[in-house]
Amino acid sequence: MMRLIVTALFTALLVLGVWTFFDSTTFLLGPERAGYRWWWPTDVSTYGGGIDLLFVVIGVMILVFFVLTYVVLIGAVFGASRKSEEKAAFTHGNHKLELLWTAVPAVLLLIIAFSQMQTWAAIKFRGAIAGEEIRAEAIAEQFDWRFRYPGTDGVFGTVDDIHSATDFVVPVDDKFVFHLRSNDVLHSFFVPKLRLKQDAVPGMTIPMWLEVDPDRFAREAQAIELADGSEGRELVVDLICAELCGWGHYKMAGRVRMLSKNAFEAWMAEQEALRFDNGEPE
Amino acid sequence: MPHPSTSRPLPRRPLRPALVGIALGSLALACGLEPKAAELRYSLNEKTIAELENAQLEDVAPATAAAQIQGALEMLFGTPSDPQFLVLREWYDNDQNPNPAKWRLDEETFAAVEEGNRRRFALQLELIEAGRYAEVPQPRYADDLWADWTERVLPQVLSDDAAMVDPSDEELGTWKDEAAYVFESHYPTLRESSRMYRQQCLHCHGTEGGGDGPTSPYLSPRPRDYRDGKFKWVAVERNTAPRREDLLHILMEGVNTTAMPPFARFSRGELEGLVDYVRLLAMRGQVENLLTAAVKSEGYLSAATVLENYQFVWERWDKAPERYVYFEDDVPREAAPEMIEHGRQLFLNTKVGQCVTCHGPEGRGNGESIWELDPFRDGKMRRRLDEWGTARQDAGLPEAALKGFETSPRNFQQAVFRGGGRPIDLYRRIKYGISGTIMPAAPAEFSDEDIWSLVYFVLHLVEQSDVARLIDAKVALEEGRSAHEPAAQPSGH
Repeated sequence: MMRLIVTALFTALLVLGVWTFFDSTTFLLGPERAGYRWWWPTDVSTYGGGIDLLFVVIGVMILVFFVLTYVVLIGAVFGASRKSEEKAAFTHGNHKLELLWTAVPAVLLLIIAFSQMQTWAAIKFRGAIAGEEIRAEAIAEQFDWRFRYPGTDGVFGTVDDIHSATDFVVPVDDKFVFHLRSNDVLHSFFVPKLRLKQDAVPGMTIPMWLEVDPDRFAREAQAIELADGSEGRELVVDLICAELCGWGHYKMAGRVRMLSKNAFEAWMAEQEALRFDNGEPE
Repeated sequence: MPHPSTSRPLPRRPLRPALVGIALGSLALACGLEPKAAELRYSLNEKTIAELENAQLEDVAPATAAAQIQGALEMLFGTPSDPQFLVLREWYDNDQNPNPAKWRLDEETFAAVEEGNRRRFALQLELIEAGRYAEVPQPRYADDLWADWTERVLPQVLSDDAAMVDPSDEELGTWKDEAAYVFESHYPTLRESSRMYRQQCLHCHGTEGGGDGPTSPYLSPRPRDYRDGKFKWVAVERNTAPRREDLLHILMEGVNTTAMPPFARFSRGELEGLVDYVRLLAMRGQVENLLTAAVKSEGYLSAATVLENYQFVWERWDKAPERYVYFEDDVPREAAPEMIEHGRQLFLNTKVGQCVTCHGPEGRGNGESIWELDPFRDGKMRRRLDEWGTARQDAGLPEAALKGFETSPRNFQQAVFRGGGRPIDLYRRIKYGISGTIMPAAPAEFSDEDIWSLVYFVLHLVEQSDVARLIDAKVALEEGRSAHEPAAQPSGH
């Protein structure tokens, strides 16, 4: 009886594991939402495909070995627990088997290591953005995100700097290079929709970049009306802190507002006007 | 030596009642009988209690006076679980009601609230549109809305959503329209805002808004104590009540380099509701202060005094828009070197303005005027207290209760301004000072030109110590360039 129960439990784990792998919607917490593909939100960046591919490669590897391990485990539990008069065999190990289970993971690790190099280099290496203009600063702080743009003169730290709290406003036109800093402790700048994640380390200025794919953006963005009456497009996604940074970590949620080129320019102009606003009521 | 109780074997009897208790408790939970929290109450300010105790009242015991004040405040402002402004007779006659409601919003705010609601209740509205009424989930911080939905609207739409709400009034539309309208036009009641406040704000600002919540001891600077009605980062004159827009602005932007984060992710309606509730807490604190003063001077508390002071505080808050500060001309966008030099002279002047006496010759916020003799330690100096601290000290509170109320003038070399670093923000700080602090309004002989010179001098100091600038200089040094010549920066500066 016990034998059957234990076997059934292990089988249930196997079924549940495979089920969760293929059917994400049942297990996604929160309301079912559009904009989700398999386990993750759809990607709107130009470079996110590489990261997703890595995820799939690793996921499939894990799935195969998960199934394999469980089949062996269930077989062992079921088979070894039957009543038998036979004496158990004693073994000092199997050299060939050990070689096999060392070599196979080693090869798999090498595959993972080499297949991710290109992606990593493209996204994280500073060479990819050498000489590019720094267009914004993201500053993490217990417990908020603050952003700064150099304003018309292109220099940070001058009176015409544009500041934004919570909302990181970026244009979709081309590569957007920015600096990431932290004012106090470790934080992590995480934008799932842009496949972007980077620790913010106090004392370090970390160059980063993002690029929004215009086609993917066009598919998901919503129309907004600009001040001059023309139409712009906007996509707002979550920016979260992915490093436990203190008691208010949960509060540290921001937004990335991706704007079409004309909408971004309109926003900039509006912020510049606000910067030198005299506060006179209309 | 072991504690006596550890060597004694545990008696076995108490286990059985405990088991029975657990069983009964589980049964009760299973039947939906949740334990109810005790009714929440606002407490009196510790300052009030100390003042009453030290006042040597003749006719009334301090505890009685405290109970009277607390009762009066509960009549005027309600309790945390059911906050409500008392409506005075003459307000009622003039059809005025200070309690928030959607039909009392101005058109612009209502439009913004509606737009926010469309995002906040997107899921609910989608389900209503699809006719899946039973699946509409309960939103957070909207208990009164939910009660209205489940008791009034839901039964109707479930039976017939195409029926007219009122057959004699076409404009009201069908019950389906009404269902969407209930969510779209929702404006939080004080009760809902209080609940949101208790989850999002209380842990720093405290139940009464005294800046004494459970996380407050770990914060520097201290969270704001609303109860004196003084708010630092506002666009009104010094020590006057803030406008709604000022409070909303802080909720949207947060306060840089403090533990006050921006709450811009919440909808406009939710934030307006929080403003309503913060106003209630601030007014409650102010009335409390006034009633304490009245008891001390008159020796008793009369109903007329209570209502007079309530009305007085309301008038103060109603007048806030009249105290708004702005600059009539265009804000200067840059400053000539002479202007900055003029600002420097004014900053260093020790006779008029006296900025340097607090902010220090390098603008580090370490001038000598921030020190005073420590009344608790002979011959020792301490930082001067701000107005919150002074009031607490005058009320006779012990030294430990004054912690966190020390004055700390802005260190310009940190390149951070809590109330906003725009030129107009600095103009407001310099021209009208900062409420509750030792930062005074500018002397009358300062012209606007002088003030702008000071603004740009301060901004100049800030530019010099900006982190991005310093990092640039460091990189330049490493690359062997002169630290003063900028790297490949775009033209302009």
